[in-house]
Amino acid sequence: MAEIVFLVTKIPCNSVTKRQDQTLNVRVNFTYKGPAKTGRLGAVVTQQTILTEFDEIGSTRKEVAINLPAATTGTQNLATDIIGLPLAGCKPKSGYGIKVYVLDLDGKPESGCLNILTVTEGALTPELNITSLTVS
Amino acid sequence: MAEVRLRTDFYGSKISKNWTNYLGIHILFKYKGPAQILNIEVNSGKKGLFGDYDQESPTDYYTKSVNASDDFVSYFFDCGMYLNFWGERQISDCAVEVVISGQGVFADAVIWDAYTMNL
Repeated sequence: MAEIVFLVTKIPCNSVTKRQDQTLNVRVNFTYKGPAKTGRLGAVVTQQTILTEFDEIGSTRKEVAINLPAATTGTQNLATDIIGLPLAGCKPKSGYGIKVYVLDLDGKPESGCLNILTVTEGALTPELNITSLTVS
Repeated sequence: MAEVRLRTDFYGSKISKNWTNYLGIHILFKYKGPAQILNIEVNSGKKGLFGDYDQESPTDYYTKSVNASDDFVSYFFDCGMYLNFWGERQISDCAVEVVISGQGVFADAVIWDAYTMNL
């Protein structure tokens, strides 16, 4: 039986601040034990509500395919990057979390972190400088 | 309130041209911000009596796409113009002006003493 025995989410810093027009990259470190298998690894930005700690903000969801090599005798350490979670659907505030999950295996292992992402308002202020002007 | 626009001055080497020639214009600029299409206006003229810029040529209009970037990225833009608008006048201090504008950005540059005309 395929089994995710441990799943940890890591981001570059303990806390990350991003603008709404930026994207978020998530690195997932995990261990796997079982036969060779292909699955999907997903990440989504979450927020805490009265009802749940991990209320998913669907517009931020991103999934990537993962090839899990066979490991029958022991667990193996693996890492996958999930690149470019769009944050346009997040209101500017702090306290966002991340949830990661695996699909296409037995069950749906998932794990998350709370209060690791702050989203700020506003697009990047443009700047332009002419640095050289020549003729020929 | 009057709008204040700061212009960047560059200085050329007075390359020799006549009214049958073509002038190549080479622009290098840095941009950071959201992706957008910039407007580029190019014209040529000369130094006025009071050191100001006097436009003599028609204005040529171009566009240039820039990518979204958090950090400055360099872009090249090359264009040119025929110099027949000068006719047979002899000018010793011809200049070229470039204006780049877009959403939230404006840059104005002049290269003085860029070329001489019919000398």
